[in-house]
Amino acid sequence: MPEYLVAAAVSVAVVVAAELVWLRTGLFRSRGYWITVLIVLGFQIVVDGWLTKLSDPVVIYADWAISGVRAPWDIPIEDFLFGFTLVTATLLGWVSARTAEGASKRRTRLDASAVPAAFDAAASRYDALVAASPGYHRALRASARRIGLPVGGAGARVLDLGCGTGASTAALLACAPHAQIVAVDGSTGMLARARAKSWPPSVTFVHAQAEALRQWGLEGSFDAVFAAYLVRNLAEPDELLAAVRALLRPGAPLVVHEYSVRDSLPHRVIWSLVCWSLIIPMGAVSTGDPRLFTYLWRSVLRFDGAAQFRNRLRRAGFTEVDSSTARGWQHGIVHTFHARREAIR
Amino acid sequence: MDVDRLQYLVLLALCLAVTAPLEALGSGVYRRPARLARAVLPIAAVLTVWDLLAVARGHWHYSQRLTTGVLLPGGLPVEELVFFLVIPVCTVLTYEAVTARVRDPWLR
Repeated sequence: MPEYLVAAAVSVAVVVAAELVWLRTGLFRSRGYWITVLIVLGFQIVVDGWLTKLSDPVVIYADWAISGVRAPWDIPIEDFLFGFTLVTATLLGWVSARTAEGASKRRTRLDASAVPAAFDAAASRYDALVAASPGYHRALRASARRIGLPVGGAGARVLDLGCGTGASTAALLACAPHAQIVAVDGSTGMLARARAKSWPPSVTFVHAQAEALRQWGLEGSFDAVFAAYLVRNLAEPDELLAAVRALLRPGAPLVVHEYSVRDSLPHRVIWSLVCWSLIIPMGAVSTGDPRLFTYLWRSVLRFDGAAQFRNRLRRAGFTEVDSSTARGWQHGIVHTFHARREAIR
Repeated sequence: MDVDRLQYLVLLALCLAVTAPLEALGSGVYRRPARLARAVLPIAAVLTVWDLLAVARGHWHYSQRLTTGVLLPGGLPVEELVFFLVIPVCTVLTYEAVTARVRDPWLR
């Protein structure tokens, strides 16, 4: 008796009955389910075809256990019943688990208000992770150069918003060694790492949430503002941009260094692959908490496309808005946005 | 080790690699590990038992040349367990991408 044929047919009946009698998820009425079945079937033919090819099989079937019908190629037709059971049972489990999930999701996700605290905890490993990212510092320096201050920034005051552990501050210092640099971050943990490095007296660190800049009352006092990997993390980016504009002297530049992938499906895919194959596993292993890194991934996918962000800058009252993208693997993923507060005529 | 012995595992790794980008299209599969575990682990357990019984009955066996030779209790190649974890994950990724990609409620 072809036992595999019998077992596979019974498994299909059991799964179908489980849905119709017991689970009643409505899965069989969903077109998405049937499209998925067809797509998986397509892949099954390739994968299963490889595993069962009689010329060099990975899985070898006993002739007595199967019906003997093999198609396409050498796939025993029983395998398609098995595949249907696997796909359907899995999706029934997935759809049934939908309701149980809501409560736990709220606990595990990081929202914008919790970001500074999460960076506090990760600060000690952050530099090592960043150093492992090829081109990270080079791309920051390329962006920092866009502030374009003459004579190494002599006599100029530059604001480094969201300085973190000081990577952006170092990039600014390399490009404008004679400028007064005020570096601000909302995370005390990151700021402590930054302060612990050696800096010339022209660099000062300030603990403040970027959102609170308006309260500084320093109207028109900076010759350039640099914001690296900051804007994406803010709940209200427009408020920050308005506050930054007020801090700039007329005609002075704002340079924003930021991830932006929304304009391009290939770059969203590359970003997701890099995150899930490298950044999230490495981050989770070295800090013990993957949330900051899944947050990084998610926040980048959610953030404005480059064109959208240029429009946001214009809406905030900036002029001469343009952007360029980084080199290397970050091409099309990391961008430098350049804008100016309009000059007084 | 002979590269051929990795054939089955490499095939499964390719399945994961091909479906990984789908995560960006849907509302999240890897992002919801608890829900994914609840969907995948029970079916993986049931199919593993089926597999063990089938091997014990002699329905099928595995090429020693094309598998790593790492065996689970009961003599099942480790690749089979990986298969029962990987393919359901690929399936859920496909389903999420299909239902999220097409806005039509008729498709859900």
